[in-house]
Amino acid sequence: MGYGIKLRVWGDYACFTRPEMKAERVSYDVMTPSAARGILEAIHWKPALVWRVDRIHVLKPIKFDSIRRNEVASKISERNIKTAMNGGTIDLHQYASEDRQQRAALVLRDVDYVIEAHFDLTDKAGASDNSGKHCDIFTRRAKSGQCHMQPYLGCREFSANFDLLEGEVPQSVLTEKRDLGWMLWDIDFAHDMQPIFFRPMMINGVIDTRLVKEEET
Amino acid sequence: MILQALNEHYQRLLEDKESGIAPPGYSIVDISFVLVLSETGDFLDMFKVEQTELVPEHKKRQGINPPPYFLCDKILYSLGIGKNKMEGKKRFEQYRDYNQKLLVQAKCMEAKAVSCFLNSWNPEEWDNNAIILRHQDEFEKPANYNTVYKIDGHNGYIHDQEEIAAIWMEEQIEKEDDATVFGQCLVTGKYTDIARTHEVAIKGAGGQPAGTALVSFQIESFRSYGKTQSYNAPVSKKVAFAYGTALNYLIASKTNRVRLADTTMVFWADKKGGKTEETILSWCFDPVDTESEAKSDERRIDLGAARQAKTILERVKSGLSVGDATFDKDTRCYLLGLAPNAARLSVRFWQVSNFGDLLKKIAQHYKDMDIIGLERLGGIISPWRTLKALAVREDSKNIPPLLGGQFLKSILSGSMYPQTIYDAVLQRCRTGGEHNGVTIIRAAVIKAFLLRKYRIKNQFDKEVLITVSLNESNTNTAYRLGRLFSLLEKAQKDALGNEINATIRDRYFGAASATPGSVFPLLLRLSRHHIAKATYGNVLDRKIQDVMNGLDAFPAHLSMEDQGQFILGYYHQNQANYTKNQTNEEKKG
Repeated sequence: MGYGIKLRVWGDYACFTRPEMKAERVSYDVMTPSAARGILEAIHWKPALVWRVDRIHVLKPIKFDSIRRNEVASKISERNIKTAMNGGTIDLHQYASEDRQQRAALVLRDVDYVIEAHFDLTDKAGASDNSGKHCDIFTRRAKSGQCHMQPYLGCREFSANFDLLEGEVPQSVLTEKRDLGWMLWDIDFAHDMQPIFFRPMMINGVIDTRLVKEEET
Repeated sequence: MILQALNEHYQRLLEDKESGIAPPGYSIVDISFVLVLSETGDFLDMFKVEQTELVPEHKKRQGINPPPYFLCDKILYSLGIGKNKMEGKKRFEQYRDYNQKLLVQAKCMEAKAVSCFLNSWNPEEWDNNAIILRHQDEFEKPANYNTVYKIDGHNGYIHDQEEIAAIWMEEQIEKEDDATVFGQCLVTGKYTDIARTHEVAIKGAGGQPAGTALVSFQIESFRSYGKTQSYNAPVSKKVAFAYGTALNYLIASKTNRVRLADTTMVFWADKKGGKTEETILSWCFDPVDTESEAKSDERRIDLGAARQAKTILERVKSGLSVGDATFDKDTRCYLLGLAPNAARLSVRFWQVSNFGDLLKKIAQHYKDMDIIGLERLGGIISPWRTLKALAVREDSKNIPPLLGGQFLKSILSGSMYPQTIYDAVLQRCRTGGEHNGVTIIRAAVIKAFLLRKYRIKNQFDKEVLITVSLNESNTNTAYRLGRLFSLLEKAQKDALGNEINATIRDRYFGAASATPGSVFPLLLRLSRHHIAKATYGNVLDRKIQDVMNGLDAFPAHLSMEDQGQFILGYYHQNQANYTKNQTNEEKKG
């Protein structure tokens, strides 16, 4: 792939919430491919392209920390937003102080990753879209720290620092081979938003996230 | 990861015939009454039992129309006994209809007998029934008693009867067929039917008595992508049952669970027959002196195993190898810390380690905690007792939430102890009155905290100064001040006897440990009078001079770290005073 990019992301906290432990959150051991995709999309994305995460490098040891924090119980309902969009008068606020919930979370501390990814053009790509152009846009934006929204490590409150990596990927401190168990790969938005899971192996801190063709189907 | 490990453990337990874990479709519940029926279904008698029994599955009951169970249920359902007769009748009818539906398929005498009994029983007349009246005073809270059936003159309970058990299994399979949602299970990765809710309630880890859930999505903000209930986290029905049953089994087990404040920790070995490892771990987390343990009926581990565990721990503590023929030090162990939050369980920590490393970490903790005087409390202080010593009024109810989990985690991972523990211990030491002051356990915690902090931060010069007993060559100002304070207190006691209303310890300890500059000049002036009056005043005076020689000035205030040093110095000197006294007395004798 000629247009592969490498992005280094790091932060003090991260929480890649396991779907089965969403109430009292527990994070996955490492970044999930969909979280990596989210970070890339925060820097540059258009309907004409789709990001494919190839590898995730885990540079620092995996450390967990248990914290307790305030969350809220409800979401702003979709119907209310639709009403508002159609010109109805409705209160769209969410009053966090009235909706408080204290919950414990088991989060990752002090994380540092390198995301290796490429993109493919979709059928929405027009005549003016070409790979070279989008690759340049991404590279330029990542270098100068531009983003559509602050990229984050699993949860919005754990914002990610990022930097384009142009040289070699630094050596990870992790040296073993580790079975990470079944992890969320991504959501299949085309088919009723079905979650897809995969079972990655982390070898010397590197996780290959290219999903092997499903054997069952 | 957690669910996966629990699921694997369930499969292992299922293969092990002696484990006594519930197979799919069954639950282990406490039963209270046995209803004795005749072969024709007449109600002959009932008697009270206190035991756990494997019965057709008791799923989580909630909502306004909770489902009845098969052949074993609470007396509100099985007999209609409750405060409200209307409700009792309604519940009994649901129970009767559900049971009849299944029992009709059986041809055996037992099924017919229960069927007849259910038909003839009038739930509204229970308080006129002679048999019930005889046992009425045994119901304290009617809702809580489970009943099972037995035929007079036959062995075993009815739900164990072969044909009936077969019908129950068939019912389970039929239920699986009407699953509608398929998806990828996040534990096994297979495409299979997904559980709508996880029906095994987790009991015994605190929270609601009816049980809590590890995986639940009852509030709007837990849900994503418009999914409802447990479809948010697709887990197959089989796995949902397996992990819940395994977790309940571990929590109920005697050797796989340790409680610490609000946290319940379960641990298990990742291999068949890992009982030895589990027992040793269990003892290490909750050591009880082998001598005194016969007295307490709460003792869970047999003497032999406890002795073995103690030997192993002592050996690891003194730096010898972990090896032993009875266990494998490479066994992988899982440790899961859980704490309740109303109807949910939250995971406080999750660790996977091999057994040998784990033992070393635990031994390191006890080694760090070692301090002179600790042998009087048995030498090894369990984490639970440690935390209790830090709580207000030494009441385990006052242990702050989160602390239990954090403390265990730092022991298991060998990392620094939580700062909150150190803050709490200083607080308790400073304040006077009952349950306060410098106790052995508190001094041990301060020592362990400082020692570990210096070790992790590579401050070797400071690390070597922290010793088990008095270190006269420690030149740290705060440590010296602590020692000085102890000597001044002794001077006062020697002069005025033990019956002083307010000693300098009661009055000045807090101030002396935080702002020595403002207190010590005053104390030294006071001590002149005490020394003059005390029996061995000049000996004491010389000691005070020795300690003072290492001091340049009284600092205006001490940092948190130095306050710990102060307390440590005070404690060490106190212990030294005490042993000296003993030798003096021996000389006299």
